[in-house]
Amino acid sequence: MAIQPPHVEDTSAMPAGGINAPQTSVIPKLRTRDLNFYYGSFQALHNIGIDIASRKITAFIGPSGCGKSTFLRTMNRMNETVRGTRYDGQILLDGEDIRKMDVTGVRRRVGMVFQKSNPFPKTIFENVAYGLRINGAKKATIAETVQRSLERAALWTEIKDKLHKPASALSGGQQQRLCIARALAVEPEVLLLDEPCSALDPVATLKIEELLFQIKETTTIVIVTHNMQQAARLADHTGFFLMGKLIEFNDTRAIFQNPKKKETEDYVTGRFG
Amino acid sequence: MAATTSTVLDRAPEPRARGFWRRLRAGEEIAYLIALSAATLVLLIVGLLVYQLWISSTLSIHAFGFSFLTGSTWDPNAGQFGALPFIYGTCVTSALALLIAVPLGVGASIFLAELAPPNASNVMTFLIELLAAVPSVIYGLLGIFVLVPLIHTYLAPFLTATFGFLPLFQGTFYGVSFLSAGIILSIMVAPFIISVSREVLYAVPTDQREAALALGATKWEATWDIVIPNARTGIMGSIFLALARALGETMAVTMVIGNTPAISASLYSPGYSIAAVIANEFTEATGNLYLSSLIFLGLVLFGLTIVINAVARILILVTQQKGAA
Repeated sequence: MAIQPPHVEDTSAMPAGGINAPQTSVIPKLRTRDLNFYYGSFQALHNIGIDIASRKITAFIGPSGCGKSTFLRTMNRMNETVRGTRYDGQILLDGEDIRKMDVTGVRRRVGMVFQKSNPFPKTIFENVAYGLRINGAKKATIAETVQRSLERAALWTEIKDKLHKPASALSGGQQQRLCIARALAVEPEVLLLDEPCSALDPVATLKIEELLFQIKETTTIVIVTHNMQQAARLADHTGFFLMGKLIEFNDTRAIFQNPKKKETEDYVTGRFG
Repeated sequence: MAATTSTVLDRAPEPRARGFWRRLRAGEEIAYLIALSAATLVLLIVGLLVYQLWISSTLSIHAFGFSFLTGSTWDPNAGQFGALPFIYGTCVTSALALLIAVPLGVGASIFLAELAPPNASNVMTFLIELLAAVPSVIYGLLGIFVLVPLIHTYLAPFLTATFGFLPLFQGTFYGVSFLSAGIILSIMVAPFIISVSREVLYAVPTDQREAALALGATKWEATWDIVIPNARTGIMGSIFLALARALGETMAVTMVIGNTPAISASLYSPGYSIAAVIANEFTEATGNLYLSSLIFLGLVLFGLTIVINAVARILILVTQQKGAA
């Protein structure tokens, strides 16, 4: 059951009577086809087919254990580091199967921010510079890129005087923005965020949401959240996962105001048991 | 106003009412006292140990003083006692042991924790930990009957041919030597480094690895740049443990070091270590000065262990990566 996305390049592939979606000619950045994912014998994802629009914010919502984080982690092949996992189907980045690409290349192009901020035990500067160093950036450009990344993550003005202090000295919200800066430094084309605000207070959350709005000018953003208000505020498109299936995927407004499926309606209205 | 004050006064005694006796009944004070006495006992034992060593070695301390440490003659018949050859032997064999065991042990622990499949890792770790349980006399026998012939046939000719220009590898290898003792010690201490370092590496949060991988790091880059710095303090701890064992190891060293109180730059020469001389000569120590000097050696070994540990700890603090929490 491949749910056709809001944006498709070839309408011929769209099933008759597909989900009501706006027809635009934006080429999808990421698409999956018949994606099944297994932890050992447990199937965590069932036939996920989705097109993720370039330079938009796409949010995935759903109850705990519904597979939304698993799905996110397949898109930069992070799940391959977990033993006993396998998947079939296709994940295409700009039309190219990421399984056939070099894994480090995929992860450099598809960055990731995790649920819990995880700065390295290094200085603030070195945290952001690390990705540049391993990807062979020229020494002369590193300082400049670090500053630009910290600016994009709305952290520069707060920490520009303590670049060489340990990252652990920052507050929780600052650490998470540092992790975003670290991910942005290597200039990924896609940024995956796995419940990035779940451990943050409302003010820190708001700051991160604001900066995601800025980043989407240049970067495709996919965010997993268990906060429905956040999805409604942020996302252009929203997908609802339940029991490893993508139940519905559409414009965010449609998902929240006019859901097509009963399960979606139950969940977004809070009737979900 | 008055009401407020009286409320405050009413409340004030409350913490005292929930004081010692109540907490004692709740078990809190008892637990505290038990833990405290256990901790105090350890300190007390260490203190008594030093005191007893000091008292028993006063005779030697008065006779030789500081020159005990710098004297290189050990002649019980002439009543001449100098500890330098033993200090030298202990330091050289321990340094050699760490030189071999640290890269080996840390490398093996990285393999076991990061690269090997978990089942294989558990089996291998079990076998490696068995090595730590082998009695040291067995290691001594292994040294005499297996290791020394191997060194004699293969390693020593190779070292002489390759590094013969260094004073370390000049002379003739007869078997018992600093080299043999260092190698057997390295085999004995490596399991400590491997098993502790593996646990420490396991304890590094997965999200640290994932953060590095998500930036496009290879598995090796993530391990070397991120996981190991995270585990640094713990790995150092495992090396201290190994060092402490190497400094104090008696039996195996005695069997292969040669038991000759001599200082030689060549690792092929026989030597002696502090622990070995105490074990060998204690039963035949005639005369109070002889006995007192052996006990003084024990005090020196104790001091040496403390000094080396302190230096190593300072080294860690100084070289501590900037930014580490």
